[in-house]
Amino acid sequence: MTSASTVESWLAYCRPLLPLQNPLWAFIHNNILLQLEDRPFLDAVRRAAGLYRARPYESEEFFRRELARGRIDASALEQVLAERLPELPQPRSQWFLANPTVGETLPAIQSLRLCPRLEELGPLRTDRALKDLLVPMVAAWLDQGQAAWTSPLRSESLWSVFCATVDSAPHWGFGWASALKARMASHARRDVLAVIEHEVRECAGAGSEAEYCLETLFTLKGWSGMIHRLESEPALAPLEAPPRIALADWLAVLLVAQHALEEWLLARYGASRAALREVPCPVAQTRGLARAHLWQEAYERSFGAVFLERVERGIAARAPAARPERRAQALVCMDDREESFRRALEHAHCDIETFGAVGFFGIDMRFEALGRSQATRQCPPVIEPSRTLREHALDGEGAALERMRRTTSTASAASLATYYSSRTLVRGVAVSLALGMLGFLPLVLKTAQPARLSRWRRWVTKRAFPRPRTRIELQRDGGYSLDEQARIVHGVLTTCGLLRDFAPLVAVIAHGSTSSNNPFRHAYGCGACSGNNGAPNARAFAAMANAPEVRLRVAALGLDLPATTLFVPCLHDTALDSVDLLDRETLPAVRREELAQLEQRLLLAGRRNAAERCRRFELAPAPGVHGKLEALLQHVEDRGHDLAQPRPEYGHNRVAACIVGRRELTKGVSLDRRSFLVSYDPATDPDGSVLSAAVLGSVPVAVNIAMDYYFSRVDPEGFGAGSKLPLNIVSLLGVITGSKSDLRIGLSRQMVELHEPMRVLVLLEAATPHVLALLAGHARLARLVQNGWMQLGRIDPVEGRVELLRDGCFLPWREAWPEAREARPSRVDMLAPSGDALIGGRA
Amino acid sequence: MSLLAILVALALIVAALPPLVLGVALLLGRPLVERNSVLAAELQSILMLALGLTLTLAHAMSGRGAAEVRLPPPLDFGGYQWVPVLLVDWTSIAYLGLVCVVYPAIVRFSIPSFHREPGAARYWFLVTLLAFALFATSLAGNLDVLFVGWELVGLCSVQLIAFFRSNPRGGENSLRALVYYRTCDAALLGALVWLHGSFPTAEFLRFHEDSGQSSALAVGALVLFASLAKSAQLPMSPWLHRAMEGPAASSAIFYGALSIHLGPLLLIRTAPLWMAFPAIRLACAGIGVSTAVYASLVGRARPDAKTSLAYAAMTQLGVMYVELALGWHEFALLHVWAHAGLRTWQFLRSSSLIQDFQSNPLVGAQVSARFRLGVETLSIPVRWQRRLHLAALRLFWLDALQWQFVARPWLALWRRLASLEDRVLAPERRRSR
Repeated sequence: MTSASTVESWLAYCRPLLPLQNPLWAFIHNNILLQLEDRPFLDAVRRAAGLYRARPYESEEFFRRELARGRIDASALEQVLAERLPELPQPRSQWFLANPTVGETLPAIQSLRLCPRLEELGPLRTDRALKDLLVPMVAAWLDQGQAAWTSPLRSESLWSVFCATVDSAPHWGFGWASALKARMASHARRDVLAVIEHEVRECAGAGSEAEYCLETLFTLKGWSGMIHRLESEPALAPLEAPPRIALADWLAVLLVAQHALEEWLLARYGASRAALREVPCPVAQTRGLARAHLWQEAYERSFGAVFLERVERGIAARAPAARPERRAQALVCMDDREESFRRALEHAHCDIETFGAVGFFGIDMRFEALGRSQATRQCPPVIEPSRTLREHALDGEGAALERMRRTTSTASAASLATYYSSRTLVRGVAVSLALGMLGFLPLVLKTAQPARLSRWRRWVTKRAFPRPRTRIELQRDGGYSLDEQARIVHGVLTTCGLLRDFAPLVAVIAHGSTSSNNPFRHAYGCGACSGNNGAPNARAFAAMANAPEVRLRVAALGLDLPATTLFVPCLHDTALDSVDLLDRETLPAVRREELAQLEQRLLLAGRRNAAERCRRFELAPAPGVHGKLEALLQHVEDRGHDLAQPRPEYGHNRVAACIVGRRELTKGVSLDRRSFLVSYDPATDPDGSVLSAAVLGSVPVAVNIAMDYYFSRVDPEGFGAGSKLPLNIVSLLGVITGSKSDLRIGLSRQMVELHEPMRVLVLLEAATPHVLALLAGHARLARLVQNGWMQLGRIDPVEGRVELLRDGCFLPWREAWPEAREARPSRVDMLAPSGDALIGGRA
Repeated sequence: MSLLAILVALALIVAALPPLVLGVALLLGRPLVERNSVLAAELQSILMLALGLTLTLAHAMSGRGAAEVRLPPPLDFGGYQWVPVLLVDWTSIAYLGLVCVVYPAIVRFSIPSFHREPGAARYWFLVTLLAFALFATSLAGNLDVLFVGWELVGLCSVQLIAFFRSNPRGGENSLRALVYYRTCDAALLGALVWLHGSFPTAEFLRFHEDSGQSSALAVGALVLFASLAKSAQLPMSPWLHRAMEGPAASSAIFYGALSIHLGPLLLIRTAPLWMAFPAIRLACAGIGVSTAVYASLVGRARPDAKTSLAYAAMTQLGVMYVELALGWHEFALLHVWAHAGLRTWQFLRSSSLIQDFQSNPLVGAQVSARFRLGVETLSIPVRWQRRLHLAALRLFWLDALQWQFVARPWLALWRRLASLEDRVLAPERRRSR
């Protein structure tokens, strides 16, 4: 092998294991260990713990506290121990608790780098020294227009930027500058791959070269991951990635900088590289993982037993098959946050039947809104958008359109000019004198009355600069043909089992979330629309389903939509709990009355949902005391618009399950927003083909979200972004803590505060052969199940038995989890009662 | 006692009570629960706003240019009296007004953002203490009172840089800030001692009577130097970007608004001392110009939100120093107000940048165009542009320069002295060690 291809093979080894977070501009939830899914969970997280230097499980103290509190069921722990450590004398849990090394079978992972060993010898933090040098450099080079002065070096390769940086540094610039300069001089005239090879051969042990490169890249994992993402998908850059971006350059930079620093420190401490490398250096976070895994299992089973018991109760209380005449139905996203909203919709006050679909409603598009220059991705991350749809003004809106064009271009130009100018010298004086005093106005109003200010602003904008009425062009410029539209409508309705008994109105409810001053805005959006607002999908779907030409073709596919049934696109804001009817002007005027009634009921459901959510907001007015609904609504609205609010809503916190099946299964019971709900009717699916559509569109998304929350929760510093308060936006790509940290990955601590870190429990309402066939046919799903990234169960479509998958076959769940044989009420409220009682743990 | 005196005394008590209560509770190891801390801060901010308004009205109606309030001296020894003299004139009203507008907004902002944050009790103590300190500084009628407020502001600032105890960088950076603050505070203390030694009084209103004295030059120079650290002017500026480790709310109130503008306030207060000396005015203008140029280069090169804002603020402060040197004091005060409004707002919403750029339809075309055209690049050869940019990213190595050529020799000197002492005074102990 030539040396270049050797280095390439090292890079190829590293690439898939780097953090895969997108720029926050296009944030999507991912299982951060996606590439390790082919290993058993414990194995994979142990590997990750070594690389990320982060704890992949909650701490021993946490689990002990949860046991004392009753959240972990003592008998579940006993049972887990009996299964995993049968050799332990009884009572096993007492042994387990008394001896903190019981169950610890895995040794800690050894670090390959020298830096951690050097930190043992002296006070200097090597990571910090590296960050001081490298972070401003790489941030300026990757900058997407945040700095007023674009780096003149951005079109060069990172390696030459590094050379220039070191070159321009005075030898007294930092302690190890001379060592670095000497090392750079030794590499003069080598190309980057040769530099890497030299460095690695010199400092890494034979046989562990690739792993050594990987560990080195993980010293600044966030930046490494970002460079890798932008290298492999330059289109992800908010504007444009540096033209000569390459991970190899970055690796060379890291290696040279790290080794120069090491050399300098070795000389200072009087140590030698070879001797120091022999010193064992275990990564502390990889200790005690096998034991923590036992705790984790007990923790999950304690919840699982309560949850399955609740599901069983729901199944027992199932309503008779005949559906009463409905005035309205709703297609809602499967999102766990919509679970409570759906209960509110189904409540006797609103009386709307609901179906859980995947929130992009089968439309795999990019969408370009009127007046925006960039298209947003409106489908799940696992699907590549097949086309771009555009929003167009309706005929007769020319004047409004023209006015909007003018005002937005003026306003945008003004805001950009203010942004850049206020940071300069002469123009800065002008801007601060001209606008400074005006700055107090939003400062006071927005902090004192966040929601009201937004309301006034909307009111003024609506009057002064009305947005033209628009529609989405479905067919123009390579859009969907009528046949394709029919297939989409048919597919979505079939998958969620809405095939007969259509109500006169079917609300197609997409969701989005309002938050202010929030770099993680996309984490609150619709996961099935890649974190964007799902409104365009609801509008497009309703337009398709209402078109008579499409309906003819849908009928040809075997689904009759009554002429009286109207699909109504709606948007539910999961932070404000407002519901808007969209595209009202394109709906028939004769049905205005009906639509107004529907809107009333949707709003009512939103209010009920807001009140339910407020129970977990500690700063919300306490119900009962001043529990007026209005105050609660105001509170929820303020949260969404508040600049200072790190918790605009609680997102996917506490999500722990995913149920694919008929809504009737759990209609009667509250799942406390802890479960994704995908509607699927096994009765209409004799061969299991619909099952695979329903599962593949939803379960991987559920696993991604659950794992993203899991890791950010168990180690907010190592896997997550830490506290939100000191976060600082950099290069328009992501956030750093303070001014010179690694690019942060994951979610901030405030976003996952209420989460209970668990792997998701998936229940499919399907016949055993269908489930097994599904697993056999889909590699990723099979991997997820086999390696314990999720727990799979099924509900028998006929008898309603709940079973869990154990070693390839389904067992009744109380047999799989014997501790749940005798029902004991849990001391802890894991699933809030359906009533309005207050529950603890408020954020 | 006049109405004004009662109002001022009341204002001080109102401002002092909450930090006192919160601080004592913290000292006793029983921090107040979050709700009560918030309540204390909210009450303080609202009462301060009300009292500030009343004070402004009372002053406007009295029709006098300036009113002094003397409180009985709490300290009296060896012929020195620490006399709390408070001064109500348009300058103090202007700065107090700024405090009374910005502080309540920051308190309101901090409530949700510090909710459930570990250490929130510490934050509320420090921020209420800051309010008291700013009250004292802006109402101070002599340098003695101003010094107290000045010190407390510095203390709060340093403590809040290190707010996140889990972030080791915070602790180190706050130590650096402390060193810069202390160096300049020593100058202020020196000025104070000198004033008490050679001037009849340290009251601001009497300064113009004594400005003819030759020692005023030295005092003026000391005061000018003393003001540099708080306003991050050259050469005392390298702590400012390090201060960005703290939470956004404290960055906004300290470095966007109230702490960073204290330099101009001090200079306006002591203007009669130094305005007569062209040398000091020249130095002041020189510092201002060089800081403005330096900071604007750094500010436009650094691509992270908070550092670029900090340097943008430093740039405007430089301009204010020039205004002060030119004698445009009222204009400088106006500039302080306007700049504080803009910067606080920008700091508070610094997390919105991604959202702002994403929803701006011009970003795609125009900012890309900026990339290619290099709109911001100056009309100098490319080679120099690159060097300048690299140097600006590194803050022109100012930090390293001071560390390498000032701090290290200084530390080395003391280390040498210490070892000398060991050798001379305790030779046997040294041998036994």
